[in-house]
Amino acid sequence: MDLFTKWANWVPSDALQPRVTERNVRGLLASAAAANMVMIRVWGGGIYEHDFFYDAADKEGLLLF
Amino acid sequence: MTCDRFSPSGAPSTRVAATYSRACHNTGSDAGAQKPSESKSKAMKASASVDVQLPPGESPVYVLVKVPPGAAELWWPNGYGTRTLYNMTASFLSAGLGLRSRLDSSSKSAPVSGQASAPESSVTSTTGFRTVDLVQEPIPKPLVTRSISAVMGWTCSPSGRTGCRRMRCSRA
Repeated sequence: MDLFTKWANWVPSDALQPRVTERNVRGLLASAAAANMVMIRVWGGGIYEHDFFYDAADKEGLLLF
Repeated sequence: MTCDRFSPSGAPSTRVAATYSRACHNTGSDAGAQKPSESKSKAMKASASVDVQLPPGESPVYVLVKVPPGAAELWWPNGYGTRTLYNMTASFLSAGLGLRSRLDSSSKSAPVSGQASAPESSVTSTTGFRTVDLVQEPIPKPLVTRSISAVMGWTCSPSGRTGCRRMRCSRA
């Protein structure tokens, strides 16, 4: 089946990484899913995201690229 | 997996096992979404193990776990179905006197023998099953002029979003 993967950009959720919290990241990805996003583009200039980022994307049904 | 710490004396028989088990079933809130499968929920168990010799310094161990077709429920993207995830656990069991036995030797409840019963070490990660192909054919012009397409009854508009990709999901 074909599907359109409506997507949005992801950049590091805080310029100061120690301030990033799992709760906040999960909330942002949940918001993306609630906005009917199917896919998230992880900006190449960002960071290798935390494991909980990928875990949250799995649970929200978000494809990543 | 680094096995130097387990490097035993003599010629040990070491077993590495990998298993899949259901992690969670996110039913989601995909009201109105296409139901990809009406098959009833079922636990999926697939496992494999290999006996290996571990010369010091040689750490990679590969275990192939074959998941029978249809045994796993697929992971579906947001809006298209449920996100079924599975835990994949890789366990390391030593037939020799293992690390755990040594560590627990002061405990009364510790296993005394060196039977390969409790894993020396294990790691679990979550995974889903899904085949995705990127379709790079041009989007038909009529659909472009309607902004984004209405495929499978699903619509979106370019309301400030970065873009869309056309993807095709198929049975694994």
